[in-house]
Amino acid sequence: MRAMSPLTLVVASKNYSSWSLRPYLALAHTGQPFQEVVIPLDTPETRELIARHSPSGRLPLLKHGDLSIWDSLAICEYLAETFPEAHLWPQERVARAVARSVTAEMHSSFTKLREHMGMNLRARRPGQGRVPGVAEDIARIQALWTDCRARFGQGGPFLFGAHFTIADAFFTPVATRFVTYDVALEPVSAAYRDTLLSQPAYQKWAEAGLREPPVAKYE
Amino acid sequence: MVVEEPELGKLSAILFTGIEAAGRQSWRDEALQQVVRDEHAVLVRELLPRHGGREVKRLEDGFLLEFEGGLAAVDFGLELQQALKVHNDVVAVERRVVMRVGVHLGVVVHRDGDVFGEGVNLAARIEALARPGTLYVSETVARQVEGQLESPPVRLGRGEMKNIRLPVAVYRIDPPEHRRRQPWLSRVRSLLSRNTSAH
Repeated sequence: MRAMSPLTLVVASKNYSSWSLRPYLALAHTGQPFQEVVIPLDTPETRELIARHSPSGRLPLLKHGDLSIWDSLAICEYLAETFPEAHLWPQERVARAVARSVTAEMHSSFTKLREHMGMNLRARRPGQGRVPGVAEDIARIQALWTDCRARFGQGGPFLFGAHFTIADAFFTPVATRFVTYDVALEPVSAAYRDTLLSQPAYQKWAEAGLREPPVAKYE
Repeated sequence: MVVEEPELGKLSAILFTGIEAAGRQSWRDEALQQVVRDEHAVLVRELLPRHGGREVKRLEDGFLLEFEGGLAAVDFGLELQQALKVHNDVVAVERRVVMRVGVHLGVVVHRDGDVFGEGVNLAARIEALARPGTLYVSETVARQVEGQLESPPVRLGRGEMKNIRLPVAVYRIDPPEHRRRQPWLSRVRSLLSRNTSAH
């Protein structure tokens, strides 16, 4: 019965919140109808608005009936289990194991890239953010993309082939950072970045994000 | 002096056209070649605004064009192919042409009216790969137009991609079997027939 309950995704400002973008993409790719609540960052009401929806004080948050799930990866895992027909994880065991590994790495690593190349869909900052460690993060991401595309991507344009998976959702914010900071990519990585940014669900998110008012703290 | 700021990182559909003489012939002389190139330009510039496209630049035997999305680019490419068929019907045999079209959707950088980036290179490589008279697109474009065309994109087989290394799969899009009646085709005829008797 729970699968029939209404779904609500609570997210932070779309222009800046990479954490929110990931479960939004996974949820959109299930094809399920859902409501969304967008909480603007860094306003006097932000803390109160978040607390109203999220007892943990964290965003993003998925409400499914009376169940609340927080943390972008936990939300995506829940969606994959609840809507298996969406193939949010690859069906083949080895591919699924690798998909979980690269997703976990994106979830927990690349701290230099995150810190110095923050997501900002509206901004264009060529040449900025190149501090020590960032180039290594970029190289590692490109190596992951190239390896997954070569080993598992033959059936389609995504990391693991024909289906958009949680791994693709997790790397989409990185693809936007590569545009914002004008990061030159190898051809395979550039083509994969273009695939991610041309997805209708991402395009819809980006259109809304670009209309949001700027938040000084993140500009 | 106004210096245009580069516009960085915009997702655009990039389309290349390339023409050559029909029937594997070569042009009789440079004057004829120029006439045919100019006729191609007339068609491109006539149809482009209908699809919201932008002429980035004219090349020796074709054009580099930019569109907001893959569907607009593909619609334009198919309509241009159709217009070329009309062109070939009304001009002398020696002025008949075939055209290759290649489309990719990718992040491009705008500078001084031109476009740059890996996406532009990829679109050019796809156009070069296309057989004369066909329209080839990257998988990124094929996905975007899926379900919106009369003829679904057909993925190229391994044989067609032999010894060709591209970072994306390539699809062929065939013209619709049942041509729609296009009121602008009569205008194409009129535009082209002005020169028909001259060559």
